[in-house]
Amino acid sequence: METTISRTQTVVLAAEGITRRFPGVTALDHVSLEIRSNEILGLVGENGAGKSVLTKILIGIYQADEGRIWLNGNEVVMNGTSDAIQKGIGAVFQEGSLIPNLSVTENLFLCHEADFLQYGVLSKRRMAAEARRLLLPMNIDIDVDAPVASLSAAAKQMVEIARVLWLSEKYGASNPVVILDEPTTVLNDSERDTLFDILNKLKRRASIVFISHRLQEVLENCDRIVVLKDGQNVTDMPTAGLQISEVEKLLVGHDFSGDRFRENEQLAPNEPVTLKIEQMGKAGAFEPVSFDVHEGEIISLVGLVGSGKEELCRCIAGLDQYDTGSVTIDGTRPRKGSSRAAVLGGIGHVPIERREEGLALNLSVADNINYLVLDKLKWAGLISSRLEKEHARRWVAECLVKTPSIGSACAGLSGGNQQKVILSKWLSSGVRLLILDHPTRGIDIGAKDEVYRLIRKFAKSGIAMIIMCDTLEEDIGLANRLLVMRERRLIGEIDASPGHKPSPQELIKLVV
Amino acid sequence: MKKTRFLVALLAGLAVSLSGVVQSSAADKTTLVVMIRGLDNPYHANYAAGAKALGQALGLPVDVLSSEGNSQKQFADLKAEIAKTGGNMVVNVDPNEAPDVVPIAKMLEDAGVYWVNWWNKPDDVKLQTYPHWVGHIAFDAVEQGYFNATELFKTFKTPNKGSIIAIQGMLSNNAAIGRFQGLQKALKEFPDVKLVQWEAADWDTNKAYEVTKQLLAAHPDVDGVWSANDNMAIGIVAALKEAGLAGKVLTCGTDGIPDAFDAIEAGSQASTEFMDSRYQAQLGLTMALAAKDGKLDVKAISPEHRAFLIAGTHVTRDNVKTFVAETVKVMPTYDLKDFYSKWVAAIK
Amino acid sequence: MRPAASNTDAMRVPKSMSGTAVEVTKRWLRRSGIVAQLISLVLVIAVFALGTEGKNLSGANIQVVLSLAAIPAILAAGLHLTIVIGGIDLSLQGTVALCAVFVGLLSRNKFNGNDVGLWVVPIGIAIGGACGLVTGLLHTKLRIPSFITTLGISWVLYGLAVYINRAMIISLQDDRIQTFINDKPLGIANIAVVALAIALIVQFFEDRTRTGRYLYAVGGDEALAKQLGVKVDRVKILAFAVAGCLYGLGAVLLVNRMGTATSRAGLNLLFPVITAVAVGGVSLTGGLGGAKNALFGTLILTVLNNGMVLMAVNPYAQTAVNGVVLIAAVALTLDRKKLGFIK
Repeated sequence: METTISRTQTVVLAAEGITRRFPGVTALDHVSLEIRSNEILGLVGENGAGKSVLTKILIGIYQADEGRIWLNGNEVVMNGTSDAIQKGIGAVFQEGSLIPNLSVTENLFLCHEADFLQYGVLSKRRMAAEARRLLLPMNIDIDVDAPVASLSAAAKQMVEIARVLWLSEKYGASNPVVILDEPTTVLNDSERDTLFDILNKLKRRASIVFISHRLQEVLENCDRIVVLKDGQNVTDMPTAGLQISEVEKLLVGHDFSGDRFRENEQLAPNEPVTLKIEQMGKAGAFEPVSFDVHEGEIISLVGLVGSGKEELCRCIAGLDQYDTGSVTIDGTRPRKGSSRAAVLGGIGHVPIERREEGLALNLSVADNINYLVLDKLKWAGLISSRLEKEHARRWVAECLVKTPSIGSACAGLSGGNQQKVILSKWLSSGVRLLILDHPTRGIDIGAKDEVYRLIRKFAKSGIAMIIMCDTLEEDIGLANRLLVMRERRLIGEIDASPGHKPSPQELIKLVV
Repeated sequence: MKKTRFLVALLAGLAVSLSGVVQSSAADKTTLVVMIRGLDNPYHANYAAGAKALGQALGLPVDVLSSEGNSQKQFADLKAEIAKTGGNMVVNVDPNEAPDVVPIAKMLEDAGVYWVNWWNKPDDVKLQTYPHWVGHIAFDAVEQGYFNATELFKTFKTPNKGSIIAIQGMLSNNAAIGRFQGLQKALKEFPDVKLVQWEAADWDTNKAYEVTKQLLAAHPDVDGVWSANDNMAIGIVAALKEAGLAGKVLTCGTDGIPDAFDAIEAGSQASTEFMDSRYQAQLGLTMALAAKDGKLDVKAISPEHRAFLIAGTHVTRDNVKTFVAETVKVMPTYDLKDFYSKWVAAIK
Repeated sequence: MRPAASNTDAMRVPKSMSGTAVEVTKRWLRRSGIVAQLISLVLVIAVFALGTEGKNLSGANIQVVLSLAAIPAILAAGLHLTIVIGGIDLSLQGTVALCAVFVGLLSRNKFNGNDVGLWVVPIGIAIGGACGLVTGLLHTKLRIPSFITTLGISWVLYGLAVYINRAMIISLQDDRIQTFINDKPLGIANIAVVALAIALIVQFFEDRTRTGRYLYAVGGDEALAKQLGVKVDRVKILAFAVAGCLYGLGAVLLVNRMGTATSRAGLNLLFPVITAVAVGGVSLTGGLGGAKNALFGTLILTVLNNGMVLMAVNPYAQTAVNGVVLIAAVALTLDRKKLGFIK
């Protein structure tokens, strides 16, 4: 491997043995990373593999629990983004870090305006001229005085890249490091090509870390690739001559340790159809799709971010409006675009952002569990606190929620237990179809197993489910059937009943 | 524990005997009690001063109960006062709110205390139900509006012929409505005076200034600016001064605040009507005392004289100097022989 | 013929507000510029010119409007700063009341022997600034929402003013400032010149100084601004302190214009000033609009109220019209995407 490194390249930034733990999860486990001068490094991994956490440690938003960072051979500590940028390291995140109401010029120089001051007054003319100079190599034609909110996603990225470069230039970094976190997800094809053109030019004076899960573009444009899986290094190799399939294998991993997903508890679905989707479509989000979900069946929607699966689920749950087609649940059609109608019809939704959408964090466990069934807990027309307590206790026991008491606030529970509270809420309400959006995101292995156990239990009781998981193994393991979505279309259906499970490698080919 | 209980008992005993001493010294003398809403404004401060002056003249003790805008405090203070005097007292009340009158009336009825009420009472409460309630009195807002309008009309280049603008108070307020009715009455009486426009300024000096300034731009040739009170008249005078009309076009007011007297003297305000709270205090107390001493038979008072309106003191340029010197700055001796000397109308 | 024509013209205005025109209007107003405000101002003037048969365009009336707009414009130039940073300042009335009482008691008056002369101007500004500083410190250091902090502070200051003032009406006996306010060496009353100068200075500060731009950064995205190195707390405190200074100046002018000072001087000011700021296009979610917007908002509102007085619109309806204008202005300028929930 040594031979593939050009002699002129030196290691600019190195991270060594980085470990970072969050409550219940080890996000990074002794990860190492080398960034060399004048290269584009591809950093790939599935969701939750630790790419973002690693980025945040490199630019000082998080501190590592263990491990060291070396910059040009000297050990350094990154104290926040402004410290990192002074050392020549900056990141451009998906969510962006430009202030929308300020102009391009103002954003470029925010907090570094000293050069443009004359008797304490900003010289707008000089600022604009400098901004134009910086944006020249970025190949974009924008009005530097326009507010950033009016720019396209591509232009915003360019502005951010220009800012990182300008700041490192200003602080005298000879070879700045620019980390781009999934920059291509928001770009169309021609914008993506432009981005890579620019990155290839920039390589002459900077190093770029390119984070993406689109293997094709990584392999085409990066010099080297680092694969992360479950918070650990898997590999670090040059891309020259590398095949996508090889990387796919690395991404997915081989370690199927026993029966992780309780496949032996999986049953064949019942005959009756619980949910019928007919020609449902939403312009710009997904093309019309049709499929059935049977009683007790688990359907897994597989596809990348942007494949349209999230939007599809939101439409089924009544959170968004769809344009064409229909949703039928147990023979009735809830009014479209009404989450209330969906809930009354028997459709439950467990969102990915459970802390924000799924749970009233300040209310007690009992309040959350009883939320949907208050009508049934009435005695003589009034809500009975005795019935409330009984109901909550029953479901806490049933779902094994670990909580100090049913009166404790949900905010104090671990992620896994919060998830179990949400699940009990839906189960107790007699839900017929449950949409689970990344049900095991951010919870530890033990809690994951309990969530799997609950999912199996629901299926046994006849509840139909649509799931979207963090990893393909999880999708394959849990589901009876897999529906594959790519570029806003439903492109295939794969049987995943016990004994007929496809391999992740087969699946990823369809997905990517 | 025991010690504390003993101490408490001792203190209580002391307090009882002390109050006994006070009572015995005051028991033979009737206490004059005034109940007001607070001492932070000149109106109520004068109320208390009037009561004290009367007490001094008659050699009777005076107690001032200030509710500070709190109805409950008002009731508690009254209860304590009844206990303290053993009911040997007369009361003059400016109730905190109109509904408060009922509990006050019941309390005083039970204690057999004669009293007079001012300004506010619920309309459906009749004095005849309460034999110890000597009178309910208020100043006549309609008369105030009327008087000040007629005085204003006199100051026109051609007296009683010309045009005016009018600045109203808070539109929902009873006094504002009454005073405006008085203005209408005057306008009917003097058909040569035209009201070209009126605006509301919510009793606020600054708002009155702003509105007047605009109205003067639209109607630069008005002969007078009628105002519902003195506070707004200050703003109107400022606006007139800026327009170069001070002293040529006059305004008027009601209340009798010091600035209004200055303006009348300086010739920028025609008149005001002074509501003398010292007189109010003395009149009410004297009436109640008379009832208590049997000199006034409450049952025999006609309904028109049980609940009635009185006129305030008219202040114009003619009497302002002497009025301020002899009445405002010193405590005048009021003629309290005829309780109904300022009677203008019955309250229905 | 003419009245009929003017009627149809007047009716065309509300009509054009419907349909896609609303979208167009929204786009105008969302820009931080003042195009929309200029057009609104011209429209309001034009409508009332028809309604009052040109009375509102008389020289005397224009003078009146300009001098009446002056004090609210100065107050709005202060208050809008706190809205630009994404907060709000409801302490206006309390601050003005306290400053007014101090101005009254420190100038030559009948009640005490004080006479600080023209020093009353900087003193008034300083007292206002101190009130704003305290508000800003409470808001940032104790992390209390500005809405609650300033509402509380307003009552505290008003209470203090009433306590010191004891319901007296303090007549000022030094009329130098009053004379200055109304002199017209430049053709319009000095007070209007002062207001214009202040609006320009504040606008310049917002546009051309670092701190000024940071106000907008904080209003645009506070968390991001902090992350990029803006000293957010300092910027916020400054906004409240400058606002306080301008309330102090407003109080000095208000009291001297009237020639009397009381604790009631500030009452009835908050609503028109907030309305003016909103009408001017300063977004209540922060980050958009400057002193020029506050100035135009004040002008629009003053012209509107003046027009209603000139047309002798029923006084009962006039207050309601202002309420409608406030809600309409906010509806057009509020960026609801920024708020998860409207509370």
